[in-house]
Amino acid sequence: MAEIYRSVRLVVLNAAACTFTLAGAEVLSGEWAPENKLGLPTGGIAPQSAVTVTNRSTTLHYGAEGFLRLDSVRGLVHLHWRLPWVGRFSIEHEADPRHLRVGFDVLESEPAEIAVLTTISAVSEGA
Amino acid sequence: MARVIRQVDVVLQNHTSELLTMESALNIQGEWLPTGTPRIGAIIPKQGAAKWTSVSMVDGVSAQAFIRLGSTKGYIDIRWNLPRSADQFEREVIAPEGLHPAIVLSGPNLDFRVMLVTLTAPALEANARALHRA
Repeated sequence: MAEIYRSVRLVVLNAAACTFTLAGAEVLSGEWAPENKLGLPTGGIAPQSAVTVTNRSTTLHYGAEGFLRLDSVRGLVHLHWRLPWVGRFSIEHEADPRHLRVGFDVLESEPAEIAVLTTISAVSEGA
Repeated sequence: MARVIRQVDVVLQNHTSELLTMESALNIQGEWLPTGTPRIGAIIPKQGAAKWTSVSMVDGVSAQAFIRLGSTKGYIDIRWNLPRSADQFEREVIAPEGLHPAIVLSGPNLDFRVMLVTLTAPALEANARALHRA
């Protein structure tokens, strides 16, 4: 069995009132974990629900890096994470701040095995 | 039957949350024992341990080797040399910032050394102590 050297577990919580659909997803380094066949949000992320995707590296000297691009009536959300072989984890997002707010809660207690809760919420009209 | 003339057992305790990976290892002089040969790509999980054994079976030849381990903070290099003059044993451990190595030497005699390397993460320990006080 291959060793898992680096892994990023991304939980995406849709705290908005609209559905998000998967516009794009790819790994730049590493691979998707096999369980992602069920976890990738191909059917969309319904309001107030969450999905989990895992990007991992089973190759020596390769980190885990990938992106998810989610679409909704409030606009796109682009999530891009990177866990290098040597160095700290980073994640960034792109979204229209007038309509969507994206927050990250990163669990780094195990530096080679990162878990991230990504919460996408809607910016209220009056805000 | 070949006789072991010099032997160094290296035991690494990973007292950190890092996943350590065996990236490179070489017996510069002497050889590895079959039960203590480093395997490239092997992992030492957090709070795990591993042991490697380098020996010399030829008179006048050192037991000399190095190991290079990877982590998310950088690389850990462990080197040792147990020469014919066994009292001139040399060892060195280099770790990246954020990881602290401590070496304890033991063993039955000068030509059979056991080198215990304990790797800790002082920042994590400080956090744990702060939480305990709180």
